[in-house]
Amino acid sequence: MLSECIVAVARTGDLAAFTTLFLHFAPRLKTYFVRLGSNQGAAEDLAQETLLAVWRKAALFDPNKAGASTWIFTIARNLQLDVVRKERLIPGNDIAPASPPEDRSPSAEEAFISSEREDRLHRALHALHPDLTRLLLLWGFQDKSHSQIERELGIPIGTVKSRLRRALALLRASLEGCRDA
Amino acid sequence: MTPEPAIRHHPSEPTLLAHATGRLGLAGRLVIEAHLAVCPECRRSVRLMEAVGGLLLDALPPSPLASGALERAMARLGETPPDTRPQAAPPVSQHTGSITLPPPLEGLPVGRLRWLGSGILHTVLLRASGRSTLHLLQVRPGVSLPRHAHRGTELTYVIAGAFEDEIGHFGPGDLAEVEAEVRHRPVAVGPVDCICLLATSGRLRFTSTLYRLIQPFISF
Repeated sequence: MLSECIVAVARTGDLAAFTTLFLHFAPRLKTYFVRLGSNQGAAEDLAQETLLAVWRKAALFDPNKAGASTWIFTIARNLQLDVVRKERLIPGNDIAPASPPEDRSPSAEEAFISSEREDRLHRALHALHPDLTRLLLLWGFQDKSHSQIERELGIPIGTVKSRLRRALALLRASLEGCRDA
Repeated sequence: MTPEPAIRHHPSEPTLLAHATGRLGLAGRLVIEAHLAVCPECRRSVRLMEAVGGLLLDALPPSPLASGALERAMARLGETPPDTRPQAAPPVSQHTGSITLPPPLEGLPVGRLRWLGSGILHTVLLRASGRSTLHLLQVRPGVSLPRHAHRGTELTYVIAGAFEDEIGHFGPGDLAEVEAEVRHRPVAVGPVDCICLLATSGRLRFTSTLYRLIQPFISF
């Protein structure tokens, strides 16, 4: 279990557990960063930074409160937000360029859904029609404009969004009756 | 502190998913964060979307890593964590008068608002790569917000005042999400100026003759 690996890293600095996490997540994280616009080298660096952050922050991971994938994903996502934040900004009017504000997103790493809920979601995601899963992947993990998505799928963006809504409603329904985290 | 206003209009779930996966452009993200700061319901939704993102991460095809990637990571395990906190923005004088930006945008310098037409003040807060642009608009009651055609989804967050369009009434904290091609005509309503953030992607093309005429000068 991947969440047990994070716990082992936290408790004993278990290198074998870290290796398991690295070999599972780093190649997928590289794909994630490439799809969101990084080149191969930068994506690999970001994947490595994510796993190093997992090593450093493992003690903060509570398997009763979060699933491994969600936890690691939010670490990667926050690194991606840093990348976006460092994008070259063109100043508005005649003002000097400045960094945008620090990320104070309420969806910080502290807030998660419980691992019970993640398990339910996991089963619901696997029960989705493969086309809907493909659509979720395309929507969530591609740096593409709406017109590019329309061309690729051959359906208007309104239809794309209504199918996404249906997929997300099915996932949400899988959590009904499950206590909120 | 004033009580939080009742929020009636929220971002769509597909937009919250794109936000949770880090895919939204910077301008869109800041507008969504302004809404999340006042909307516990959408914050809960984002947690769900993050879990969906985590599960989708598992479904991504793995990319081959460069040789020695694991060894290089192992060699760095003893490193002191780098300070990843972004540097504070340099202090910039504010020319906004009474406009207070929502907390997620604090520190973003605000340029001088300029007249974009009768009753409409405007400034660009930031332009990020990929043509993602964040605008600040102040519109006098009874005046239409500029009509324009655009590509991609347009996100509007109401800071103060209100506007109405064919969809409904949008007040403080509300987020309007309008698809490209939708011709809507929002009009500021109520006793005070409508102050809103507008995130656009793609190049804006104003549809009314006036704005088309002045567009070259305002670099919207």
